[in-house]
Amino acid sequence: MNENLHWIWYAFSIAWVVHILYLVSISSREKKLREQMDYLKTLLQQYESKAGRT
Amino acid sequence: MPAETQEKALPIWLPAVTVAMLLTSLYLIFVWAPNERTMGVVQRIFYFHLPSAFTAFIAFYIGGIASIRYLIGRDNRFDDLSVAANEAGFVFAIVNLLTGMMWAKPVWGVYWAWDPRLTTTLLLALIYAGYLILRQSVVEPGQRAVVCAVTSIFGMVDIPIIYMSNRWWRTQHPAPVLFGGEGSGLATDMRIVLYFTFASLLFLLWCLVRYRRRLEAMRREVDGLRQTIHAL
Repeated sequence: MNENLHWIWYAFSIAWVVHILYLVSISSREKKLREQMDYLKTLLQQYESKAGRT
Repeated sequence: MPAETQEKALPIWLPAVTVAMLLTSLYLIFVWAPNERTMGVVQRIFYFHLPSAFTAFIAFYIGGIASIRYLIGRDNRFDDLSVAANEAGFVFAIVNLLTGMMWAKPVWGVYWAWDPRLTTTLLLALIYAGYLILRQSVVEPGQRAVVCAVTSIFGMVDIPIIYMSNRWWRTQHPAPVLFGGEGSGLATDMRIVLYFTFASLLFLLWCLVRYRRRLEAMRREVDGLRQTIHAL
């Protein structure tokens, strides 16, 4: 019976690795979007302040 | 800033409850549940394998219903919900397939058999892989949302076929243990572990969908900022 223990280990490890990788992928995509958003907001502010001066 | 991106991704209690439930379910699976008589210890994979499939089905139904709502009202919030639920559902479907393969190898002697249940489940995963590829490849947001909504609705059709497949065609995959009619069923302690793990995975789905949905709202905001800058 115990000779099958490693299959349980593989199954549960794979399941958790898949979920953890998915969480990491969401979090890295969020980080990228946040950086883009900050950059675009700064750019927009620069455009607006230029337009205000002219 | 739109309200969806301003709000916190998750209230702190939700991941806390989810982690506590998942840890409890691991305890129940590995310590509390009895050994199955024929398959022995390897049968414990079942407690994660089956709930992963049901969680994927629920996620795909949420995605499909949100898609229908999007097509009716063209409200972007439903498109966000649809992509969040379908992507999370895809992850659960992959977990279901992989844990099934890890269970099949010691029990059937092979990782994969072209059994109707396995084939229709693989087809479901492929439909939603296609959905996610479409999501990346259609550039125009309105067109992307419509095409993906139609794919999502189409994907839902496969779910009842998967559910009925091991009732209609009896081949390699075991007969249903839940709602399978006469001769089917689980011992009470096994059923408790199964339902508890299912509830834990539903909480995990809730976390993932909320988190992913917020990401989609952020993406929409970034697109809006880009358009504003281009227009200047």
